[in-house]
Amino acid sequence: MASTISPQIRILPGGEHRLLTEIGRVDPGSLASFREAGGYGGLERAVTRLAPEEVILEIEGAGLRGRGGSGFPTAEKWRVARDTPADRKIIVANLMGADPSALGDRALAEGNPHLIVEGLLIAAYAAGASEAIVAVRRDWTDAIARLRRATADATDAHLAGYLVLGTDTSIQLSVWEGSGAYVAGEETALISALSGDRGMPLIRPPFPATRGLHGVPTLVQNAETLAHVAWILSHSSEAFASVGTEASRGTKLVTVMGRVNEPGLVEVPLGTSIGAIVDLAGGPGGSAKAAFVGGPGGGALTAAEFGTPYDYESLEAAGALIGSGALLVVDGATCMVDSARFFADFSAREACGKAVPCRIGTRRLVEALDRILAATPRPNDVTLLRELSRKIADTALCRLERIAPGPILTTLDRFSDEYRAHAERGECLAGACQAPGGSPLLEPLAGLE
Amino acid sequence: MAFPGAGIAKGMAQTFRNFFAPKVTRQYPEERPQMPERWRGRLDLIYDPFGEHKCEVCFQCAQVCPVEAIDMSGFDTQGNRIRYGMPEIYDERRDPNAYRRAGQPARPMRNPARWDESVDTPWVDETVDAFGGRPEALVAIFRAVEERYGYLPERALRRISDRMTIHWAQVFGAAGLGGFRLLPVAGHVVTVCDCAACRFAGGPSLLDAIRDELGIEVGEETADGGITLEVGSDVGAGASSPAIRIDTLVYGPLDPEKARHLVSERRAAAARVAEGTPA
Repeated sequence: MASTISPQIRILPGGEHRLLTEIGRVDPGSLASFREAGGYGGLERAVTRLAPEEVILEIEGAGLRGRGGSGFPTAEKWRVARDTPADRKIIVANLMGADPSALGDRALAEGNPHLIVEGLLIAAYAAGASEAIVAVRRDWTDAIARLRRATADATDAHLAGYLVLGTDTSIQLSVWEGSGAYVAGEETALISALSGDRGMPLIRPPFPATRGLHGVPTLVQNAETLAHVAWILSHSSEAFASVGTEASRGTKLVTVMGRVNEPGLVEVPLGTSIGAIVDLAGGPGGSAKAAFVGGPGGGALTAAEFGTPYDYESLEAAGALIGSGALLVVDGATCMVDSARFFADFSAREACGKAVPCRIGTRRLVEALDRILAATPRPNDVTLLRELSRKIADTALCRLERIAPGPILTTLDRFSDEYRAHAERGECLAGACQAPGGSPLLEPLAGLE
Repeated sequence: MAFPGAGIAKGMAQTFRNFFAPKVTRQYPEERPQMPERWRGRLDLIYDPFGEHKCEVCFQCAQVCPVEAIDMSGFDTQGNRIRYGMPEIYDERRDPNAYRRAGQPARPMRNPARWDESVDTPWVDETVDAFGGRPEALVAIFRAVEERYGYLPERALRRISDRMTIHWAQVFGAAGLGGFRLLPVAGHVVTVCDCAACRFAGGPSLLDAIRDELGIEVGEETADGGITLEVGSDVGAGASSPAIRIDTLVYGPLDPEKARHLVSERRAAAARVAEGTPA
């Protein structure tokens, strides 16, 4: 049943398959097939044998951190929602796929939707939520249909709905679609969209865990995190923590793309080196120059830094992030200035327009990069890029905005020679851009070391 | 009547009048002048130093206006015509004669907004009711309407707003930010993916080839109305990059020659259908 998921999602062998094991083996449209593979065992164990607090302790023991990019400890988030007194609490599975090129969530939703639903129900039980919502990006039509089917089947089998598995827990499941914008994956933007408004982020605090959708405590969890929750409950927290580093345990779905021989989706233990992940994808095609780690807001690492472990802390220290789980390898024929402009332009185009630093600031960043690319920079353009980037990050309304300048800052630090060649001599070191050439600058550009 | 010092004398006269006038200090925040209840100040569009409107047509003012008093019509930053208001009001402005009367050359609209769109309102109502009118379903309802009409007609959005009792500005904003089509589109839509994966796997060369093949720019339609060319990052190309999407099907990985071939085939098929000959 290799054709159960869209052909655009290629799952690569190797690494440590946990969430990906069942994809292609279970029938995504059949509850019976999932249960045969041991599915919903974790939910059964949680609801019938464990108290909610024990479930949270188990997740805490496993050391699971949010896979949506922030890396926030999952157990801590659940505890806040659990401890907030309210008659009604909501949990949302985030499948908005903010970064259009990351494949992890989509692979899970199409290949094994019940795994997400199981994790969602466990999380709802642990946090004391009576409503569980699956929010899916609207262009993933197959995923929507399968999740609708999965939730309906689970409710019919009394795994959700009223009196789950004969206990006095009730969790109402529903699947809703969300718009396909980059910002829509941000948790407060998702909450705005679900309340019938524009999908724009809200100011925090109040955090959604205390006051979210319809004004009640709302827990927004990434689909991959929820799949891990289901895995932990059906295996054990020790098994989960057996791989990974001290602070970042477990596995992570990583989408490897760009100049690699076999682009696709891999699952690796956190802490695997970037070079090893690239090798799982068939190795770099030609000579790798750098990798953009973390999607549109990630950072560039040079090929010499491919030994960096892929975990939250190490990447952040290097200026990159786990982010959407995207890893883009570029070769020597790629201009880093132009790449930085591409990512900055993506952030500018996808800005929802609510926060001024993002709406106008990212646009100004693109304009400064355009001037550098055209070899007509103003003397302070590099200083402007750095200062404006810092201000955007400092005054950001949402996380996506805070990380937006990442590609610019990291390429400025690591590939300053390319910036210099473009700005001062109008020449592209990678030979990729149609550089204007000639017209050397009268004074050197400030801010490049 | 000009004699030296007349101006000074006139000015000083005013000064003396004020000098002996009673002095009144209005304790503004505590004592407020009598104003109509809904008065929020005078609306004014401000200009930048180059004489351009600073208004970005972001609709935020329309969204917060409590009585829906603000309607808009204009061009967004990409040059697309957008409007936000009753068709009977804006019909006049869309009329090329209105340009001519204003002393500007009459020009055809790039995206003529259709105000005579006919919408099956009972069907829209049914669709809304099928979801129980829940606000979470807004995007799902948009998708159903877009599937039927190819875009979101304004009348349908108005109806959804009425039926769901969600503010019209919110419905419109959610549709716009959600990336839905607000204007009808001609023929088949070819979308070249510009997600990061495609971009670094040769997406720009596909775009060049297709542009060359069709002889149109991004956002335009071919003269026979068979194909509209677009660029989008929501194709979902994944591991098949670089990819293009024709209507709803994703094709990839492609090289420029294959892309050219695919697009010309589709265009020829569309022409055959238009002529009525069996494909």
